[in-house]
Amino acid sequence: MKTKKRNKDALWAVLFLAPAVIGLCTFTLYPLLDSLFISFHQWDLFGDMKFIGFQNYVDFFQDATGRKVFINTVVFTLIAVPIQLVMAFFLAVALNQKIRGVRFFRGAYFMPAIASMVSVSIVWQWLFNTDFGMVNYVIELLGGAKLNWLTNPNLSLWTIIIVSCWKGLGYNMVIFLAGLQGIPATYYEAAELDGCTGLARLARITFPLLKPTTLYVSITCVINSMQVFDQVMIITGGGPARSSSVLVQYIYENAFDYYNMGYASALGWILAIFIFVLAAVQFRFMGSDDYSVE
Amino acid sequence: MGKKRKEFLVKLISVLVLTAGALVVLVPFIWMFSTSFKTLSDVFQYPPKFFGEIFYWQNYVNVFETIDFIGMFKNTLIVTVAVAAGQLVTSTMAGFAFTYLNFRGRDTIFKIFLFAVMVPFYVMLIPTFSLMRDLKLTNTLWSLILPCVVSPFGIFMMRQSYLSIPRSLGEAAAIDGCSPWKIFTRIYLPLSKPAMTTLVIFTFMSTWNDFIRPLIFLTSNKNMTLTLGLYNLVGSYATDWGLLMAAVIMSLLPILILYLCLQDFFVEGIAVTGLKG
Amino acid sequence: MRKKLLCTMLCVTMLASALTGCGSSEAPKEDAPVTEGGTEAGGDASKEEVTLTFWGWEASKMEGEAIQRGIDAFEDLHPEIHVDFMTVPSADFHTKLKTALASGDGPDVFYLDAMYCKDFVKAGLLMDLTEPAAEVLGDMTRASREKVSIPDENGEEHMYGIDICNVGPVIFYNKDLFEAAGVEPMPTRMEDRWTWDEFVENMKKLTVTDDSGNTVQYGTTNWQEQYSLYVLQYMLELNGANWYNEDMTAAQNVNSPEAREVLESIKALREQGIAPDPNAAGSDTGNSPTSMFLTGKVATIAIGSYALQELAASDINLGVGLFPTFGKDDADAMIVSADMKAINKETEHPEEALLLATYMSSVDFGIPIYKTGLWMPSRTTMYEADNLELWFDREIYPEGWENLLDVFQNAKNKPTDKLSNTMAVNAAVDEELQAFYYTGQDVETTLQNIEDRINAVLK
Repeated sequence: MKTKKRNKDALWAVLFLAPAVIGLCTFTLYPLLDSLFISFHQWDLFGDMKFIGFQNYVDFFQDATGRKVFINTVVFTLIAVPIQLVMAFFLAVALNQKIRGVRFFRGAYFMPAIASMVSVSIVWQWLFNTDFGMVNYVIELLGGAKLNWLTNPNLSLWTIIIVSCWKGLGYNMVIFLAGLQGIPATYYEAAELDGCTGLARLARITFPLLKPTTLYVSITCVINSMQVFDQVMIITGGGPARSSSVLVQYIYENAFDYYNMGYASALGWILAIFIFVLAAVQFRFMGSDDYSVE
Repeated sequence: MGKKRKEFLVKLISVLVLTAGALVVLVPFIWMFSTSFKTLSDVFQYPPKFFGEIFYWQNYVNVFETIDFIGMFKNTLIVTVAVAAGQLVTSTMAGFAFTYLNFRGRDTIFKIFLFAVMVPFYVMLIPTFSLMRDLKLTNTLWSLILPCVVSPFGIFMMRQSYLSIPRSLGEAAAIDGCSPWKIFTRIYLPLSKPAMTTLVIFTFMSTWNDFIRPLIFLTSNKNMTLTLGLYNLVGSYATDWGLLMAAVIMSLLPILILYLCLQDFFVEGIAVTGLKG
Repeated sequence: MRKKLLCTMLCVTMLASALTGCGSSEAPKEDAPVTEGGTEAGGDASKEEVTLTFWGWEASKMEGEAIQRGIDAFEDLHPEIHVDFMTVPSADFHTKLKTALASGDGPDVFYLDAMYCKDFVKAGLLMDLTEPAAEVLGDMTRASREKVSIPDENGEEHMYGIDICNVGPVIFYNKDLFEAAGVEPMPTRMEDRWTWDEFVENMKKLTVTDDSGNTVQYGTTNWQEQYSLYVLQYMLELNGANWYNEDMTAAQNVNSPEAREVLESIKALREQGIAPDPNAAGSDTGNSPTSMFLTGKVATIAIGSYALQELAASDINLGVGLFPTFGKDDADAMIVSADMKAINKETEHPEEALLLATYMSSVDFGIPIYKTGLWMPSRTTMYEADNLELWFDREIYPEGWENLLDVFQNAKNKPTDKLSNTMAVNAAVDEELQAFYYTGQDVETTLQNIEDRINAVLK
């Protein structure tokens, strides 16, 4: 009887899963493997493929530009992700209170998440303009000197980080907010009876209970940050002298500017492996119980 | 009394900080809006002014004359609606299979989907391009739709939300002779409206704003989407800031309106989808 | 095998998506011409309607409009041919073009920057136009003729484009700002040119700061232009610095005293505060140099002559001048370049495409555009005294431009126009230049790196 139901279920499963599985195979798994295949070849998209073994991967370790963009990407991720996590968390806590205008605030902080990176990058580029930009104007009002946000190699990556945090804040805030709303009020009431308030409450109840949310936010944030592209293309173009250039931009250039398809694919795999490792590390340190399959 | 006072103070400080923060967050939008009514010489002012000498609404008219805004809008809408509809169908169906149905290999398949969430698009950039090329789909809207119709993330999200629906509901219906399809359409779908809304908003946001796919796949004006159109506008008319900003504002409005309409479902949706954990 | 598998998979997917209703109700349209086929049949085919796609770039909105007017005239001449004109931003143009050609979505006729010609030929993307080009070659300027020719492995010259225009570097200036600062007009005769030091002195006079130390008007701009454009390559020529060997297969002697002087002179402009910081070093947007010039925030701009169209249409009181001299024997230093019209090797309508390309290289097409200042002619006959009145509009061309005509007519190609793997070369050079301009990398290292990296790419 039981096996019969299982068999029947299996038939239904085929029906329910068919579209998803076909899509996954065609547009994720196949390209993923094909990319691995291409990465062992020299190929310019026009001519024939030439097998060259691991040469593309070896090239990466000898390619100064490749190293630089890789380091930029990692630095970007290591800085942008924690900033977003911390800010989004406290913002969510603040917006989880019963205060006047909370709807307005939630809407306002979410605005950047709605707009396309392309459009806000255009605006930010102007705001960061050395001579006419709003950012430098505010700095001058506060008594500072104008900064070359986009042409100073020590600042350009920070400019990208600022824009990315501004853009990502709202999305992460909303996820945290949903997490906070899932914490039953009774927990807080009980804590209050024990005389546990303010920061202690935050540390003893909110933090532990939000661990799964934090894990989710930090993993998606890392995945997205490692793939930063749009804002770099538009705001700095990776310049000056590759100081704000990132891995994905380099992949794009190698693929569609220089037609080194093999090398671009190898870079893609290096990116993918790095993302998998980072995700695994996060699972390990933050626990994965909440996303177990059962 | 003292406690009430302390609470009031906390709230007051929160509101002050939140207001200041909101102002900072909104400045780019305010600037975008005000610049869309400026002439070039008003843009090149220092100190920057929010409003120019004259109210130059002509920028908006110029957008229509410069680019095929309506056409781009239509293309973007077609792609976005198709992807959202596609993802909704594939995600709810697969999510149902992963929660309600019992079959061999279920967990393994689900793990593969979970893994796929992490696969960066850029590792698939070239194969996807050559795939589309082989299928003669480059420079069609299909090239933007097909690769996005299945979203591992959406499947994961729908599954999380279905986990909160008691199995007994479906089992009771099964005893009454309902097929899994009926259980899916009559019980699971109606109960997951907030989650579906959230999925639609996320899909809308990512598809409406997609840049890399249009950048590599689309080559003709006829198929241009809004983000690519904006990007091209930057390349061609970098001198005309008022025009650029008017176009940016116009591309932003639809998605902003959608969000404002669905805002209330949205947080609720995330809360029940289990994205929070 | 791979393809077969794919097709099967995709068919199933499409079917599935159709069945489950997730395809869009409105099927996206294929980008297909209105009518297809029939062109091989010669004479009869001319009756059938044909749609050609044509890609060009535009430096400003006006450029696109000028081209469109020319295309309209072509369509009047050939009512059976419809031309679908698409502009692509110049920064992405060749990336997009190559990608489109590679995926079979390429335009029939297109602009091609001479510097990518070799690479496109190598990838087998261009139609050989040696015969038709020969017919119109008679009165081409030296630069134009050299620009479109690529030798094959036997050393025989083949032509892959038809050319109509030349653009070369000049300095535009704002006459009102010059008068206000008491600086005399810029010279337009080779023998009157300022020295570099005189130029810098005058630019200092044109730089104005307000009470709080903010610069409200800069002397000059655009000197740190990308390598692939005009300014740096011309400056190197002016100072006698040559970076390549005879057949353009390797870089040599890049790190010369002359090149060092050029790079340091350019960098000094910004360091001394007489040239503004570009908004972003790696992208083309922001306070683009022309908009600063147009709003009177900068007194001079070193730029390709194509900018004349946009600048002349503004209400700036416009003047033109020659680049300063480094005191070398630089009579032959002027470089010109511009697009050429090329044809997609795979075009379905070769005859019509050729008609269009030829028309776009004719003086009928060119004259209205020469008149706007966007292009200078690339035909020697156009420079003859009798023909000047056809296009040399004194309302557009600033005073003194008549002295530049000979310089343009006798100019040579940009060195990069004969390179191969050009996009990678340009990217490498720009990266090193930015390291020099912005990160403090010293000039010797920069030039040595440039030589090494160019050679690495050319190998």
